[in-house]
Amino acid sequence: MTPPPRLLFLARRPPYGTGLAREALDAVLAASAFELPVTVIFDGDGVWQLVRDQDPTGIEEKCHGAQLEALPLFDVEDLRVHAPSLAARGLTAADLLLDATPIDDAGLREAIAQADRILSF
Amino acid sequence: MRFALLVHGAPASHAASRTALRFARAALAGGHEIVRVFFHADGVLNGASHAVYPQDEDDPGGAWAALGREHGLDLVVCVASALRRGILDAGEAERYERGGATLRPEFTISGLGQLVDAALGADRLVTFGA
Amino acid sequence: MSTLHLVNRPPERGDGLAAALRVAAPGDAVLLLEDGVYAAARGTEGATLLAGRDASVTLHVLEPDLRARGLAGRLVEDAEAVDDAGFVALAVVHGRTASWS
Repeated sequence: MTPPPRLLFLARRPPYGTGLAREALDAVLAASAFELPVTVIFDGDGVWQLVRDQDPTGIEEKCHGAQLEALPLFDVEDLRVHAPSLAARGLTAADLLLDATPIDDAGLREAIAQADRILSF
Repeated sequence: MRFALLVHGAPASHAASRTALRFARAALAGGHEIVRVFFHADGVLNGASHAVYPQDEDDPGGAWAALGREHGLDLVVCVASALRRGILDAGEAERYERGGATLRPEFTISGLGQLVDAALGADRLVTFGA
Repeated sequence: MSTLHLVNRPPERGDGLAAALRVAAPGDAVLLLEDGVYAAARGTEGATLLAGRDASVTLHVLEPDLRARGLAGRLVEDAEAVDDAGFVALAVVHGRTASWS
C-alpha cells in the first residue's frame, strides 16, 4: 500500500499585518483532520508567528500565538523553524512560544525533498 | 497529469488569478486534468458575481466561470475566507440574513478540507499568489 | 523527485527569490513569473542573486510576463523564456512545486 502523501506547509509571513498567517493555520488544521503526515515550517518573516508574549488586544485581533500553541492538541507536532531566519531577526529559541525543531538551509531542503505537496502561505 | 490549483490573489489586485487562468487553459489544452481550483484568502473574490469590469478589460472572474462551464471544472471558494469578504452563496446569504447571493453560480463554497482533498487527489498542486 | 520553484516578486520587494535559491537542490528549476521576471533583467539585484546559484538549477522566465514589461531584450543569458504551455510542462517534469514571494 502506498504511503499517504506528505503535506508541507511553508509559513513565510508574519502575523497580524495580513490575514495569510491565520489562513495558513486554518489550512493546517483542516489537513490535521485527514490524519496525514503534516509538516509546518516557519521560515523568513514567518518565524515572527512564534514569538512569545503576543498581545493583540489593542488591535482587536485574535491571538495568533495562542492558536499555534494549540496545534499539538490537533496532532500537528512536526513544527520546524528556520534557524538562520531567527538569527537574522535577533531571535533565539528562548523567544519562541512553542518547541519548534530548528533547521538550517540543508534541513529546509531536506523537508522539501520529503514532501509530496507544498502549500505556500 | 492531474493538477490542483490553489489561488490566493484577488482578481483586480494581483496577477495571480490571470496567471492561474492561463495555466489552467494551457493544461487543459495539453490534455491534462484540473481536479479542482481552490480559491483561498483574497482569491475568493474571483467568484464575486457582482463585479463589473470596463468594456476594454478582461474580467478574470467571468473568465473562470466560462472556463468552469466549458470544462466542468470544480471551482471552490473557501468558506471561511469567503464569508469574511462578503462572498456568499444563496444558502449562506439566507442563513446570515445578508440579502442575495454574491457568488457566481459556477463556483461552490466549501471548507479547507476540499483543498486538502484536492492536494491528495491530484498529481501536482500549484500555488498562485503566495 | 525535483522541485519547480515559482517566484513572483523581485528581491527588491521580498525575500522569496533568495529563499528559493537557498533551498534549490541540484536538478531543480526556478520559474520567474509576474513581477518576479524583473529579477532576470541584466544588472539587477535579482540577476546577481541568480548568478550565484548551483549550475544545475535551471532558470526559466514566463514569456507573457516578460513581454508585458518590455524586458525581452534585457534577460540574463542563461534564462530560458517559456510560454504558458512551457510552464505546464515544467510543472509536469518536476515532481512538486513550491511558490515563493
